[in-house]
Amino acid sequence: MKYFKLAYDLLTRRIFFYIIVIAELAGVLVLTNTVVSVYNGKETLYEPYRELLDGEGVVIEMFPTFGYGSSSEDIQAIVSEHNYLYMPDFIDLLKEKLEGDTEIYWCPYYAMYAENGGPVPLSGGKSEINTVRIDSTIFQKLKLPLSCGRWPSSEVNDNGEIEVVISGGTNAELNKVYNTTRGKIKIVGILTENTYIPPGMVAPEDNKKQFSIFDYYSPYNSNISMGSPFILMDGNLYDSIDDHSDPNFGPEIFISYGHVDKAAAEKNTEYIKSLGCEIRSIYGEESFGTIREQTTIYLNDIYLRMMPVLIVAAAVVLAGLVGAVSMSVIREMRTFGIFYLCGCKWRDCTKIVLAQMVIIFSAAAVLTAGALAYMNLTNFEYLIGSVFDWNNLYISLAEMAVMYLIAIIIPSHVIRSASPVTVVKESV
Amino acid sequence: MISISNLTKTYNYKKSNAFTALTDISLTVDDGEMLVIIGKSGAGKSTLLHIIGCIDTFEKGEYTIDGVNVHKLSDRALAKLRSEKVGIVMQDFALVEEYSVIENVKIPLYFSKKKKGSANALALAALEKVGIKELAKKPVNKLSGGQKQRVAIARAIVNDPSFILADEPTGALDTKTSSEIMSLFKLLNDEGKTIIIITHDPEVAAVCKRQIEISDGRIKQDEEPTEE
Repeated sequence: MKYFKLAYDLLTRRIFFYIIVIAELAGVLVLTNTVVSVYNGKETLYEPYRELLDGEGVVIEMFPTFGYGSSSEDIQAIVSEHNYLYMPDFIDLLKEKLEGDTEIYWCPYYAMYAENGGPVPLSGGKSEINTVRIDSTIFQKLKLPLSCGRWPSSEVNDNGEIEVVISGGTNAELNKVYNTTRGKIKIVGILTENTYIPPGMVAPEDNKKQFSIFDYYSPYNSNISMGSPFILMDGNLYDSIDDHSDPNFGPEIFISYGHVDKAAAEKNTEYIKSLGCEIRSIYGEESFGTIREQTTIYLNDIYLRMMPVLIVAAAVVLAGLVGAVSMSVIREMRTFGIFYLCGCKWRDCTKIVLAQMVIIFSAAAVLTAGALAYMNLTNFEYLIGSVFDWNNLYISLAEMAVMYLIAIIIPSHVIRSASPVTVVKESV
Repeated sequence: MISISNLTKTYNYKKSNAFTALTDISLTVDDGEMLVIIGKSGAGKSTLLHIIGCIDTFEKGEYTIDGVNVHKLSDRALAKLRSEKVGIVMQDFALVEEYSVIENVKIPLYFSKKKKGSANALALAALEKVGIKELAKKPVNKLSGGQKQRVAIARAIVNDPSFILADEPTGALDTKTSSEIMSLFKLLNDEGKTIIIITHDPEVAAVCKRQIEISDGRIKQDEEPTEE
């Protein structure tokens, strides 16, 4: 502790100088954490679909007119029965016809009404509110940031209520129960502004050839989005309450072929094409492999684009820090000489400088934590789509450790190369 | 007791520009003595004091403090000796100007393991002994030369060392203040401290019973002045 006391005393002698150094260090750490948390934010979106996309499969996009002009007998059978292409039957058809261990992820959404048939009061003045049914395996891995509350349970609670999360821009109150045509729903979490609607409900803008998983998400902000507010609900719970209402269907359908061989995969794709639907993707062009590849490129790009900025910023701050501490050591040489006279070992002076660095880095860490907490309080982090996780801490600690080790080289060398006898004779 | 025998100090030892500052120095200082080392500038007085104070090293000879052979000690042991056995007072006070009086006095206590009470209490007791307890919280850079030297003496005695070494302690002071500082050293000597002072001021030298004169790195004279 004595080294910290002496180091603190030396620091406070040039406090304004060190405040600038500490602020610069904190700035680099905030920048690093911002990049890492933006990466985390994207990882959060990728994670629910990672397992699905690790296999083989395709995404097909259904256009609104799909079905009427199809020459496929299978499609015409559905259309003639319902007068339109009834999506649940279409999904059943795909499940029946496709070969292999096929799974189909689609994102039906339903207009929600109050128990008496009127609009649900939580719609917040909007004409409607949609309930988005997310497949249970994906819903439970999906952890979109919440501005308050928690992520819903996958089971109906003890009061028979289905727990849901809701987007912003509504009258919904946290922990309030609403009686609807879909049963009693309880709002247990409210999504942050600048959140995302999971893939399937809205088609991505078709302005590029290949898509990453992030292109299938739809950004949602209650103030600027044209879409209605929405509720996210676990698929299994949704299915347990059948009110016989027809779903609206999203245009994107993820079809996983499971672990099928190439021939079966091509056969499946040929069948999808034979249905005559205008499909976005076919096996080999917009397969899961391509999405996976584009997603990885996107994620790596976050670091690759920011890395030069981070390195330059860290180098500039490091140079400032090394210069500041080296200058300080040279200025304090007389003080170290006095300490030596008073019984200090010369190498203990190095320990004092190391303690100085620890204080500087600790202060920068505290300042960084404060700045990040402020960003959290003001929802700034959600504005940039960031999520903080343990890797923020690990990377910050690693960055600080590297900077610390580099920063102590010159000051330690200055002290080690000086002779205490000479310092005492010439300075004291 | 300090015992030095046949001590030689050469700067840049074994190099082409080697310079011998002390040659074949032998002397003994008994506990409770108060002596002065005099000599012209460059005679080797300060070098000898630095060696006695365990700040500097030497190449030949023997030097023991209370029976401990200094020549064979590690850095750690030398630091312990400086901290616990020796108090050093320098001509320009060697104070940390930005520290307060008490912070300066407490410095040796950070590096000592023989503390016998709280650092504040020990520092205040040392300040009281040198008569400036009321200045404890004052920044050192606001003090006069005499007050600064008292702070330096307080710092030298805060660890209760056996020996106090003073290198030109009155060199930066006026006559009246010099006299006060020498009275303080006399007082400390009366309390049992061994005092070794380096000076070229005859009035300062006259205060001490024993005078050692150094010339060209050798002891020229070592005697107690005859009383007139």
